[in-house]
Amino acid sequence: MLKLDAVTKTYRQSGNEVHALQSVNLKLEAGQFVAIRGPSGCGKSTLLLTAGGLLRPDHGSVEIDGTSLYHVSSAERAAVRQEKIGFVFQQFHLIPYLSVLDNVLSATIGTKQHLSEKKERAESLLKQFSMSHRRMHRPGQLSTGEKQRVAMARAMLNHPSLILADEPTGNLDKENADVILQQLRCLARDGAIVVLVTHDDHASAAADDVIRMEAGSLMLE
Amino acid sequence: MGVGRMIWMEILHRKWNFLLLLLVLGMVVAYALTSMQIIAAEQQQTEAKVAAMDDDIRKTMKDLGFNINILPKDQQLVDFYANDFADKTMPYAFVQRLADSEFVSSLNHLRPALIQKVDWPEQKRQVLLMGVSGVVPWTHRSNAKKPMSDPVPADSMNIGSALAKQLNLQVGQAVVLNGESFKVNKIYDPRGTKDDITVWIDLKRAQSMLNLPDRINLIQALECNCASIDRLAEIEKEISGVLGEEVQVIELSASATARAKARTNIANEGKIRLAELAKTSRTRTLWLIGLGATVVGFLAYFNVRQRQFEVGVLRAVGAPTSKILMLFIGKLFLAGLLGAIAGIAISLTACKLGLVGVEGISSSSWFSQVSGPALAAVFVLTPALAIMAGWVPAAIAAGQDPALILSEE
Repeated sequence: MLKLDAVTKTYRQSGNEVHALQSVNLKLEAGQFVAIRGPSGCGKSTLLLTAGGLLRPDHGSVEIDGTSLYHVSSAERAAVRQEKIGFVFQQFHLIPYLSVLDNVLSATIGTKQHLSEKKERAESLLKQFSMSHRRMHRPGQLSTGEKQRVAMARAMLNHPSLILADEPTGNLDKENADVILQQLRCLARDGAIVVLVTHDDHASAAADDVIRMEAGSLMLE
Repeated sequence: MGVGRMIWMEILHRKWNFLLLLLVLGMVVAYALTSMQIIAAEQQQTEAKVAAMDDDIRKTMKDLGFNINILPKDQQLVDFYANDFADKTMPYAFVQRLADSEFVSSLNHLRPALIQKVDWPEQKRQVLLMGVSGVVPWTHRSNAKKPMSDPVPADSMNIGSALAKQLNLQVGQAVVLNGESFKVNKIYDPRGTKDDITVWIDLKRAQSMLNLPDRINLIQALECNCASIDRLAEIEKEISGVLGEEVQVIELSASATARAKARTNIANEGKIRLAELAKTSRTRTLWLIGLGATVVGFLAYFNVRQRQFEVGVLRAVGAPTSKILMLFIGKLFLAGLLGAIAGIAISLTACKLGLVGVEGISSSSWFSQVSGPALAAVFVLTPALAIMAGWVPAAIAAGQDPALILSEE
C-alpha cells in the first residue's frame, strides 16, 4: 500500500515560493493503476519523487507497505527503493557505457542476490520485452522505444510493489507506447501499484483511475 | 551487477579521463623515484671522491711519514730541534699503554723510536741512528690499518739516500756500525729531510747499543682524518688521559694536514651538496605531489560532473551511497595502482636511456637503489594519494540529491 498523508512541498527560488504539493493525501492499494494528469509545473513530478523516497517533503508522511519512508535512515530508504519501487522516466536514464543487460542489472547494485539469479531474471525480462537480441548493445545503439523497454525491464527487475512512471510514453510512437502501457497494466494486474504521470489521453486511458493535479493539489476526475 | 565491473566499463568508456589520471600519478611517482636515483648517484660520486682523496692522503702521509711526535715531558724543544733527537727518554711501556687504551681515537699508527746522533767510526762520520720497531697494534680496534712502516729486521739496517750515496752503500752489502754487523736492507729515496742522513735499525738492538734498555725517546703517530679543527688540543687531551702529564705532543707535516683538511672539506661539501639536493628534490617532489593531487582532484571532479545523472539513476534504483562512493574510490584506487606501475616504468626507461643527465644511473643501478620497502611504499602511497585527492569530489557525487539531478535531466 502507498499512503501519502498531508504531504506538502514548497520550493523557494529567488525569494518566490512555489507550492508544488499542498497537503496531498493519497492512498493506493495493491493492484491499483492510477494516472495523474495536469498542466506543466503543477507538481506531478514532485509527487512522484516524494512518493518514491527521493524528495523529502516539508510536511506530512509517505508510507509504503507500512514503512514510513522519511522516518528511516537514508540507507534504509535506499533499500526500500531497491526492493519495492521501480522508476520509469521519460528520458529513460540508461547508463551510456553499460550494455542493455548491464543496464537492467544496475538495479541490483548492493543487493545480496546471487549474480546468476540476477542475470536469469534480467534475461527473462529482456525476452519479455523482445530485447534479447540487443542484450549486449549500448543505449546509444537503440531506438527510443527500445530504450524505454530496457528502462521498464530495469524498473521491474526486483519485483517492485510500486511502479512510478514519469511520462514513460512521452517520447514514444504509438506502437512502443502501447508496449509500455500494456506492461504497466500487467504489473497492476499482478498486484503492483502503478502511478503514471502523463499528459497523454491515450496513456491515461490505460489506467483504472485518473487523478487531476492542479497547483499542488489532487482531484479525482 | 558488481561495482568492479561497473568501474571497468566506465574506465573503458572514458579512456582519456583515466589515461590522464594515470599519466599524472605516473609522473609524480617517476619524479620521486628518479630523484632517489639522482641522490644515490651523487652520493656514490661524492663517496668515490672522498675515497680517492683518502687514498691520496694515505699515500702522501706514507711519503711524508708520521705527523705527530710524542716526546718525554721534560724534553726541551730547543734542544730537540737543535739536535734532531730528544736527549730525554721515557719507558717503552708508554706506547703500549696508548695502544691498549680505548680512550684514544684521534691517532692511527703508533711507532716507538730511540734516536741519537752517534759516531760511525768505521765510516768516519756522524749519523742519526734511529732504532724502530714495527707499528704497535691497537688492542681494541678491529679494523686494522695497513702499517705505515715495516720493522727493520734485527740483522739489517735501512739507510737514507744521501748517506748511502756518500758512503757508496748498496742493498745487500754487509756493514759494521760501532763493531756490530748489519746488512743493508733498504736504501730510501731522497726525502729532502734529515731522513736522508739517518740509519734505521731494530729498536731492541739500538737500545742495547745505546745502553738504554726498554727506553725510547720518541713515539711517532699519525693523526686520523676524523680529527677536528682543533686537532692538536684534541690529541693532547686524549694522550694526557692515558699518560697523564708525562709527555708532550708536537704536530708535524703541514702539507699532510692541509690535504687532510681538503679531504674533510670535500666530504663536508659533498654532504652539503647532498643535503641541498635532497632538500630540493624533497621540495620539488612535495610540490609535484601537491600539483598532482590538485590535477587528480580536478579530473575526479570532472568525472563526477560527467556522471551526475548516472549517480542520480543509481540512487533512484536504490544503490546504497557506499556503493556509489566505491564506484569513484575504486576507480581512483585502480588509477593509483596502475599509476605506480607507470611511474616505475617511466623512471626505469628514463634511467635506461640515460635521459636523467646524471652519470652512474642505469637500469641495473635503478634496482639496487630502490629497496623493496620503497617500492611497497610507492604501491601503497600512490593509490592513497589518488583516493585522498579525489575523495571530496567522490563524496560530493555519492551525496548528490537524486531528485535534483533527475529533475534537471
